[in-house]
Amino acid sequence: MNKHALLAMLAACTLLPATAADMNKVLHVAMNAPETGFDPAKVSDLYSSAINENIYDPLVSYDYLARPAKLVANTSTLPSVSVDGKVYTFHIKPGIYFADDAAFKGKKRELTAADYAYSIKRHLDPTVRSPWSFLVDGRFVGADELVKAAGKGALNYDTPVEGIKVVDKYTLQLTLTETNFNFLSILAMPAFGAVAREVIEANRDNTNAHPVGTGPYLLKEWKPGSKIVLEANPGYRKVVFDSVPGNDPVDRAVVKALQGKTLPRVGRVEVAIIEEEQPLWLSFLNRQLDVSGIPQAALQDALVINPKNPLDVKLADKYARQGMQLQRQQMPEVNFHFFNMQDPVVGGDSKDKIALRRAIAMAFPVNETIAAIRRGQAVPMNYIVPAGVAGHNPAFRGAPKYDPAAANALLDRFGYRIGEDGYRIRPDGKPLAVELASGTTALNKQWNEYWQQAFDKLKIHLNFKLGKWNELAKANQQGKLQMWGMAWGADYPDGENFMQLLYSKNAGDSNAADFKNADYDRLFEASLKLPDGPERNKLYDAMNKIVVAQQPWIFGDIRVRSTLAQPYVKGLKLHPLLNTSWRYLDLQK
Amino acid sequence: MPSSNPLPLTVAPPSHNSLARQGWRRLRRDRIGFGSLCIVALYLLLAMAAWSGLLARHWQDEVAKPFAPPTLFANLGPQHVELNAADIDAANQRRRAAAGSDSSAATGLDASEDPLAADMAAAQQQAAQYHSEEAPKADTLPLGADQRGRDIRQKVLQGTATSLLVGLSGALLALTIGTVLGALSGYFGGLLDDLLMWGYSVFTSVPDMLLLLAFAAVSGRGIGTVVVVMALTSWTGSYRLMRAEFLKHKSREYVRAADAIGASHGRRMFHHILPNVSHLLLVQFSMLTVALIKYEAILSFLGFGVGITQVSLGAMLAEAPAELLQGYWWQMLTVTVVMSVLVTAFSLLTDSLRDALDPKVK
Repeated sequence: MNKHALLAMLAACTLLPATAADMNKVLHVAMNAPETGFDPAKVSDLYSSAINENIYDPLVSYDYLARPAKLVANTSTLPSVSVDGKVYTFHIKPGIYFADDAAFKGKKRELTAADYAYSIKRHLDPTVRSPWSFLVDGRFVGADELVKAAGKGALNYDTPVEGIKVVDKYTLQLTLTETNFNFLSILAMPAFGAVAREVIEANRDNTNAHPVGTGPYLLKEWKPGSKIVLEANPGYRKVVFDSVPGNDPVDRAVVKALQGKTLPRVGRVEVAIIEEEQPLWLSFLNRQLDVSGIPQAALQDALVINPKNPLDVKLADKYARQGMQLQRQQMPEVNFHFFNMQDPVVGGDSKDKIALRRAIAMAFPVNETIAAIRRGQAVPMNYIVPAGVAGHNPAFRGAPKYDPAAANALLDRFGYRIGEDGYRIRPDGKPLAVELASGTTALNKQWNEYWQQAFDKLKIHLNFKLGKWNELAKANQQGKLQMWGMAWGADYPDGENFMQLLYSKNAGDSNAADFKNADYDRLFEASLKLPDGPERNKLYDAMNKIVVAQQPWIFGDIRVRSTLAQPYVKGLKLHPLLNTSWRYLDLQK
Repeated sequence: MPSSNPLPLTVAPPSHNSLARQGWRRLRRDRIGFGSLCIVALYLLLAMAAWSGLLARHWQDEVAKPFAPPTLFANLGPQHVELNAADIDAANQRRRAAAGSDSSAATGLDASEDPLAADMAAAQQQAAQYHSEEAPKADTLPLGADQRGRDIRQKVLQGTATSLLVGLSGALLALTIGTVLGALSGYFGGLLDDLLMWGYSVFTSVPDMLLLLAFAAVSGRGIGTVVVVMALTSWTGSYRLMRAEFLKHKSREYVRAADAIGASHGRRMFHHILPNVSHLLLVQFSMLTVALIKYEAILSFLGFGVGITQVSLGAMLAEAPAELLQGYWWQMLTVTVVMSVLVTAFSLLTDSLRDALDPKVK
């Protein structure tokens, strides 16, 4: 009797706390720009991807603690790859189920290989218009024919494709047209999470508002542009934390908090959209947010910055005393301004156009903006591939020296004379004015003041085209902008993800500058055939030189992000590629 | 024949401006009203000095260190270290040295690969003519400096001038539109009145702020745009007022008399009726000016106001949240005081004007 009771008690102990997230724990976080939707094949912004990452499951994912980032099995085991690197075979784990939805008509719906085949094909579907199509176009054997057959209409998903083959219920075989060393990292992106065909078809008109996946959370409430609530998925498979700590003391704290526990820990995640810096920071200080990035205007208040080495910082005493946790990370990103290379004024590859672009680049004070706007929390960009991403060359100096005087002299040499009104005119005698696109926030205004200063020094008229980000993005796709600033963050930790930004076949898409250079294209195509290594680095150097010579971009900076967490938040470690760490966080108030 | 009665001719004819004169007398007696008038006049003088370039012409010059504090309260600012470009330069050098990639290992574009190599070298030679001396930067200023090291005293003068210019010209334009349309509508009535009333209803059915932002979003930047945008959204009040007044006055005896002696429609409307309702216009004008100064502040705060080569009170307020977060309070304080005094004085003046010009009050 006693023995039985003891066993029952033990069973209860092990079962109860370990199986479910604590629904009483609510994690409060904020994003600083509105999401666009939750259909992984339709959105590409960071904010929507952050949510999608928690709703859908890609085949493989990243280890939470390992640095550099390491791919691990997720819903599938790590695939077996053929010797030539073209055939990937995934074995999906049985017994994984989609979250309940009306489209499943009350039945449990298991995740199968066919779901992944469908989800990948959606990126090829012309009617879906996936922003990620550049990652899949021409990649799979036989897929081009399927796309061609669809024309402008919907893809026929039932036509078998050799490259995206469902071998059996749990086996997916992907065959690439050419070897691609980043293919697995691409599949780890939230964009390639599995959706269920029934759900997509039942909600054809608004797939963005109806996400159903197999991930740790499900969408409970959505007020577009203001609030997103996620709740732990009650049917989520049992995932136990088993990441191995490295030397970092943060790792040990994470392991101590999570070792052997099931994920996710927190039952509810409330995401607020707070666009301005001041309210974001005040909410965090009032403990209305549990984790937050430190806005630029609050950096000096929150951190003690060493003026000799601005990246050497520590948390200000008043926050350290409260036990707040500071984590920092140099972002795998580049910030740059681009010229529209097809524009009659600033585009083109004749010497006088290059000189104009070079002069503008030489007159923009990158270091001054790093000091005044970033508060020293950034490093200048000198190579298209940032540090921390395969293919980076730390010795390369791509940014021209800040020298407005020489820039003026350069313009003089190419016939940009100073006219009667004190401003320069074009070599052919027409008036010269450059239009720079920009947002409307207080922060945008700070940047614009530096641009105005740079153009004033060059004696060139500058106009601003103000608009919301998505409006400007649309205008740029139609080639209507002359100049605009952009940030590109790594989707996967390989230089290809950055070098493709200037490949002519991506013009109007991810190649925002519409840069078309035959030499660059040739080198890029050659680099695709090589794995990361000295040989490919040589090509990357040559491509960087072309970009430095032609100046389609003005290299900006690379941010070092500072994130603060309240003292009771456990399990936080910033990841360079995962957008969120919500499933690993625990609150011990 | 001697008469004790003075001749009728010697009696001073009732002055044409008697209402204005009476109003002025009443306003002089109203101490608050007169004080407000003086304050507004002072603002206008300062604004005119700024418009004509006598004052604050060099407000964009960076004369002080970033966020230089006010002289009297130099110790009341936050004790942050403000980094500058030289710090970042030095830190980058050090970082490279520490990473072992000193300048000899640095690679980049060789001269042989640069299509502009020869010109770049020549430009370095010729750059001397463009080098400019950096003036020393002040540590403190009477009212402090903003992030760029610009003098807040000059900035607020220039900002007040811009806000007043926008407010006054916007009000004038709005009033002109409202009066002309209102006069046509009230005087002629009929189909024209119906059409204009429909237009009016459409404009007023949209919330003001929304309409303002919609206009601002499609038009460009600059003072001219802001004036036009605000005039287009705020003419409706004066339209309704003028319509009612013209409706009322057009059947009065003096208008009929004018008709009898053959005055044209235009003359009757603008020569006979308009002067008799002008006191209302004056009140309306000052009310609109106050409203538009505030609207401009909101527009600029939301990022749709004046461009960055201009400054207005609203544009200065827009910089305040980020500054307050860092503890720099002086720009916020200055602009708040200047704007509240202006708006309050203008509003009080409006009230007094309304009382003073009301013909029913004796």
